[in-house]
Amino acid sequence: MDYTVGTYTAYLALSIALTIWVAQTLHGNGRLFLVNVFGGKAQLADSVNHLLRVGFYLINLGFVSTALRLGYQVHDLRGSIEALSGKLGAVLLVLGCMHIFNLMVFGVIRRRTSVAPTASLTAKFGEGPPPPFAADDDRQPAAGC
Amino acid sequence: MNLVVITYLGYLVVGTLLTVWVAETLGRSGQVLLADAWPQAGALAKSQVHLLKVGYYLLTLGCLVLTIPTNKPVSVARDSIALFANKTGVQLLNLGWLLFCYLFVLYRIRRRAVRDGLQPLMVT
Repeated sequence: MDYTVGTYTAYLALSIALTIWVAQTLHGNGRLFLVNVFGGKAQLADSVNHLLRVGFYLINLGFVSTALRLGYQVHDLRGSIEALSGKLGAVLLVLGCMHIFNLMVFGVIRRRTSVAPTASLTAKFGEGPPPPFAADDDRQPAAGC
Repeated sequence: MNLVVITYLGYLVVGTLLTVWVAETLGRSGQVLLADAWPQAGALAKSQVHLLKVGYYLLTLGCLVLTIPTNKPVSVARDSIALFANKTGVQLLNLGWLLFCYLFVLYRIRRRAVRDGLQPLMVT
């Protein structure tokens, strides 16, 4: 087994392990977040969570395998580490950007479906300033999600 | 194993340790910040901070791994130390500015929760 094959094998093992770890972490920790986003509808949140995980796997594993090819031969350990760093770094950044994009999308959804202030908070902070989006109020509870 | 490979591995180990330390600190402090804004939903604050932390890890480790290669010649210990310091410094700067971005995001989440009185639903 030469260095190129070793690099490919290490790249595949590391990126698949990374993808599985991130997907499982997001699946576990994202549930509560999604239940909250979808106004307490746990069943809806669970199904969206599952769909998200499947989509995450598809896109990431697709990216990992299309980005596998190096295009040149690797002859020593140094070359192997350098090739691996470029590939793995790209995978990590793509995973991170996708994750943050997902969080932003759900943040927007949640803001649109947030519940009204609770009595305890009104007592704590007073009536507070008027809602900043009073003119074009899109904060109707559970507006078509 | 030559000098340049040792430098790469040293950089990888030190950079990973620094990243883990900063990310865990961010997670601990961020949870306090959000739990204060959402007094009734500590579990949600925990999961939200965990999601943010995963993003921080992915971006900073991505930068760490991407900046490993060098085309400078490394033949003596002096080159090795200079390369190590240079790369570790870049990683520290990355960690720093991304930490401030995350602080800003946490502050915005908290401010919105307090100002608008937007509370998470009571979920278990």
